[in-house]
Amino acid sequence: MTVKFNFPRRSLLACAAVAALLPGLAAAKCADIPGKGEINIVGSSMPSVQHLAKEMESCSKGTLKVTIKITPEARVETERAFGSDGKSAFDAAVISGGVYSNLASRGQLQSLTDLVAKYKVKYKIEDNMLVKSGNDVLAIAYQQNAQNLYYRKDLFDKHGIKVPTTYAEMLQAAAVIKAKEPSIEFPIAQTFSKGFDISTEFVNIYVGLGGKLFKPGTAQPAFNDEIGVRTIELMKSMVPFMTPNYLASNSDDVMNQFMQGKAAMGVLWASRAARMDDPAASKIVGKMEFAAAPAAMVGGKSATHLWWDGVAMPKNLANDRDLVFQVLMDALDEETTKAGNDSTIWIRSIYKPTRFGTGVILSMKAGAPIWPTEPYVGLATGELGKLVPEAMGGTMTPKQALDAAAVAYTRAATEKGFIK
Amino acid sequence: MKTKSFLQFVGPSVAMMLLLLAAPLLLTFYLSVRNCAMEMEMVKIEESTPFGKKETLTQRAKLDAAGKAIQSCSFVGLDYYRKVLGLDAEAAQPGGPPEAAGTIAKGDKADNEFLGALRFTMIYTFVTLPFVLGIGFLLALGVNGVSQNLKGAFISASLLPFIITPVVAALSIKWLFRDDGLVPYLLSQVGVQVFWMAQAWSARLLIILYGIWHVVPFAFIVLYAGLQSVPQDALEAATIDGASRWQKLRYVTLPHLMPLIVFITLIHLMDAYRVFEPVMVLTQGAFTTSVQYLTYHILLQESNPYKASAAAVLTLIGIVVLLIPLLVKTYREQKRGV
Amino acid sequence: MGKRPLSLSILLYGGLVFWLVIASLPVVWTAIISFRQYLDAFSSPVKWVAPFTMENYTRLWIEKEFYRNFLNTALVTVFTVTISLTVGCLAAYALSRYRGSLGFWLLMVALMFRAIPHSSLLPSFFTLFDALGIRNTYFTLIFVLVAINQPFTIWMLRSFFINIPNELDEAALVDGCTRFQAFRRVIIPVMWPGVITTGLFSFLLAYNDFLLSSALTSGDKMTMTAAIANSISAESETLLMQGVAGAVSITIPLIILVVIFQKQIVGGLTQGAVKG
Repeated sequence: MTVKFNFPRRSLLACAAVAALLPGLAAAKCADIPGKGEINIVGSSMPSVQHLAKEMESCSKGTLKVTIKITPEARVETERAFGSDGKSAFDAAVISGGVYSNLASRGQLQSLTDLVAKYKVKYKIEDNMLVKSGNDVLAIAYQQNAQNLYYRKDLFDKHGIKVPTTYAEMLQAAAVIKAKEPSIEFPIAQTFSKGFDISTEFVNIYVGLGGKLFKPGTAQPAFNDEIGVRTIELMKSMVPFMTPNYLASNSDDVMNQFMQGKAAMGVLWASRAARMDDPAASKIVGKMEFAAAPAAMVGGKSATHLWWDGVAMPKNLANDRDLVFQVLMDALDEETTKAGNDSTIWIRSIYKPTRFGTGVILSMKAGAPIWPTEPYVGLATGELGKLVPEAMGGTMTPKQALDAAAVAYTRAATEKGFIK
Repeated sequence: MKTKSFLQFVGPSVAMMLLLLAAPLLLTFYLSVRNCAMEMEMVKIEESTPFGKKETLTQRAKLDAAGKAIQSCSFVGLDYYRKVLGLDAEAAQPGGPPEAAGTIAKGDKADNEFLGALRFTMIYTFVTLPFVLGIGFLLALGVNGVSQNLKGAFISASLLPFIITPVVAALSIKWLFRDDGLVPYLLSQVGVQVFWMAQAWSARLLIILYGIWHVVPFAFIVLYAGLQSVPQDALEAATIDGASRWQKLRYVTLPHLMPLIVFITLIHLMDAYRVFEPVMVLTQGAFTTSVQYLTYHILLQESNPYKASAAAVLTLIGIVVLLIPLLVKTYREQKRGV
Repeated sequence: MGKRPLSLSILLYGGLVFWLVIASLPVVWTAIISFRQYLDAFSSPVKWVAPFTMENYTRLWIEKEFYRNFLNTALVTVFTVTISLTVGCLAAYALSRYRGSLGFWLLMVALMFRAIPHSSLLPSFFTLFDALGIRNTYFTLIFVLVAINQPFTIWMLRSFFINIPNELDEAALVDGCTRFQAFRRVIIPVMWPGVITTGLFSFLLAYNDFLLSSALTSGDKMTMTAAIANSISAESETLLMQGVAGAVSITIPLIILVVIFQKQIVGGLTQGAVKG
């Protein structure tokens, strides 16, 4: 009897010893998070989110189940869930700086300050990652992003083109490629699709031309001024070099155009860069290089904005906040960053910058500002996203479109209480 | 049957319909005349991001003790109705540009969304109807003249567009007509290049084609059944009288099928008015929208249940107006039959 | 009818074949490309023959756990149909036997309810269900679908019940049965053909529903149609090919249904027309 008892116990001890001496080896993620239930997270289809999703879902074991919903409509779904009167459908969301501003202004994000303090050491949460409003930590950022210039170095070298530093130079480069490179009919690919994409392009170039979206200190619109008209005209001058279907080009579509070798340059999110070298999907492995987004005018700042993406939890959370936080931090730990190093520009210090991140860093150096944080920016971009395409397509003049957007925005902002 | 038994038997069904259809409808009316907004205040706050710290002057919602944004709700009358119909040119704020009123009058999309949606929904409904009836009738005639063993297989295969999940059907069509899909490729072989989903006319055409494709089987089957019951003696009498194929069709068959044609029309009007999936899948409401999609869009994208309710009520008014003639006709027939 | 001229025959068969091709093309093509990788499925120029792969399906069903969505759809559909038919049969029986004008008005009101655009109900659904905390539950979706389909269900069932001779239950009543006993003893045994047909249409309405299913479920309660909504704006490989596999997966049960129940479906469509 005694022998029987000792044997299993000793082998158990042996197993434990082995397990303790082999850290990280097949240690299932979240090995030491005690918890049960379901955790639901939502995020966009960015490559880094897909990488995080794998990490988060590998936390599912036993009674704990983690699911992440990846959808291009993540923005809308997050705002809906976090803003609902009942409990949120999602326990956490991967959000961008813009969505953060909306949610924070409505008081819909919960403070994570105490949780950060509790788990700072365990998950090595760095100060850079904390997104604070006043003294409250409302989000933990993990990646920086910006739209920067993508260009086919091989083609540029072949035709003796210098890397453009202004949009004017980019148009010249496009003209050269269109004339001299038979394989490329539409050299520029950029996210001009109606809605968020084209409105972001507008804001990038508008601010790059020195414009101010709102009258200082108020939520009154100022984007329908003369600079706004020049912005649309600059955008229109790009159209001859883009696919006729440019009003449908979203990030996925632009990526396709690059990866299929159909376009030679454009301003696109840095977070999409790594896919250019994915042999399963790309025909142009190793040929794409990255630089700062061109300035909109000579001597201007790089016409792009800096974004961060991170995770946040809603006030109307229905779950165990400690558990959710741990799952999130586990997914954002150093191992994840290391494993997915090339998939985006991580904020963590252990990130090794790759050439995919060059564009963002160069844009930053060239003075790109951070995306405006006013909570009513989303309302303005919503209206711009609907009306700028009308100006692009010629059914309205730029001034008409901008004025209509200003009126519609004013109405929406008044409805929401930003304008009294 | 005694009234008491009748009430007992229909009770559960009626209760469900009252609870989940009638009551929410009333609530929609109520919501359509209200608005809740958060109270915003200007605050100076230090915002800290991975890119550094910044003191910013911004607006934040006032929060209550539980940390939730304070909503102030009020009765706003027909405000949202006016907004959805694009009738409130005067409501432009003083800070807005002076040409604003003129711009709206020119019919910009953002404000006249409902009328634009209604226009397209009507076009869709009334363009698809004759094609559905026409093609369905031709198919019914055709199958009627085909040998027996082929009929079954043909009917099964024809049912597919009607049975298939609308969202799946719309997606299949989208994938066929994508820029790198089969149809654009085939068209490019004959020198035609169309970006189907990129412009209004082609997207609308696709939606209409979808509509016809989807409903033809229904018309076909109903009319085919009707053809089985054409009075044979009338047909024989006509043949004896020397009537041609066309005359028999016009004077015997069609009148016989008239009640069925009315039935198909009624059902089709109801369903076509509700067109949703193709609009959502093929355009996401970008430049062409239907009334049902508009309500959905306002509710989910703008997160404004009050404005959405106004759109919903306008949609309901639309279908009632559309159906009145047919409902009256059905009422008269039912009264006669019952 | 006299002998048909050859030209008309050619036109006839040609037209029918043309329609067959059009009717099945979208589905058939989607099915074909679902067994390909993205680069082969959407390539210009189009590839007529390409390597076969099951990876879209394995990724969808196993990694994305589409089987859960399938089970959700099964659950919602089975309950919706069962409850719909139960409640509907009772109401339809009464409507087929009652002579008063109340029955007539109920039918007219039901017809009007059938016309309600579903999205018109959404704003109040959201408000109500959020307040009660029941927005994302099977229970809510099932009962909403049952209510939405009641008008159609009772119209269709009534047209079948009218064909069951009054004498049958009258005899039972004379024998001393209550109304309900008469219903159970006499009607239920003979009502099945009509019930099955109505059940089929009820099934189709619940299975194919998209608007309400996607608005009222999220996370792992999503039905298959709700789950495929993710692929609507997808342009690139991952979500798109899963959507293609999903579309085919959703359609296969329907094809099986049409093949097995073709007669009932046709019968149901014509029944409504001829009698309604």
